Amino acid sequence: MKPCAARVGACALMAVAMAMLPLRAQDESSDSGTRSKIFALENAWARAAEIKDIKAMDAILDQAFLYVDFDGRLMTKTEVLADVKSTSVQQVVTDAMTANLHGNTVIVTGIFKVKGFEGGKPYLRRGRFIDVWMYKGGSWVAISSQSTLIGR
Amino acid sequence: MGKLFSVLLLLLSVPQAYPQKAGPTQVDESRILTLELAWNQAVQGRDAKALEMLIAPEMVYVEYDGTLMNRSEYPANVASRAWHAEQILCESMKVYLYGPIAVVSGVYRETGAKSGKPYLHRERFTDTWVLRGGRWLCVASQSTLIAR
Repeated sequence: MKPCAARVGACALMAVAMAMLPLRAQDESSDSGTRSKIFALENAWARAAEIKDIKAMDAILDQAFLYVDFDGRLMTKTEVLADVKSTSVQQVVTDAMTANLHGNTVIVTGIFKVKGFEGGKPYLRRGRFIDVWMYKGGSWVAISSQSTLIGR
Repeated sequence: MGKLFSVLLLLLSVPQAYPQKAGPTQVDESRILTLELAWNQAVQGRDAKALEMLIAPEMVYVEYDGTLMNRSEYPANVASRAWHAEQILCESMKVYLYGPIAVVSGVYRETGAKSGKPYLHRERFTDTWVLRGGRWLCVASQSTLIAR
């Protein structure tokens, strides 16, 4: 997974609460306002993954959320949440995020670095991601996400 | 393949008229799956023009090795391939419709030969399509190699 909390220092729950504000996509003051909000949510998502904040992640991910992991595994929201609980991720850092707006949908592209432990051994993964966000029921939720490792 | 494919693609690219009260439906689902197949044909034929008809100006594409490409880079990259894909198949495709947005998940399988050596790529992909002016256009596509 992606975005870094360490970099921004945004509290996962605070950012999620922001997303819950009763604003309509068309009420957003500007495209840049929407972008800032989505980037904050990306950071909150990463932070939630680091600290295993399942409640925050539950609020960020749509019920029908689809995720493709770096190894090509297709996962549902339930599987992603279970995976977050069981893995030991230490740090998630994102870079070079860009967002394209399509009405009530935003496509975010970026680079992630994940540090953690697997089978007692440390790992560092660097990859590219695309996340799709949608304004649904008064808040922004992620409807799909995919990660691809960057060739060395 | 050439003429028939071009006609098919042209038909699919014609703006679609909806009955006033009808939104995106199963018709869209079939249409999008057909566009996915047309995309495979275009890649196999290294047909940059056909690819350009399927993708939006702001499209982002992430190749299985993590390379990021835009609308002008991706078709050019496919057209300049030094190798030829002998077979391209998509399996387990599923369309998730959210009104004028559709997310397609599936497995892409490509076989061919590079520098005389056979290869097989099996990738999981996610494509995002947007209904714009009655036409479905791809705005994002990403592939990840499936670990064996």
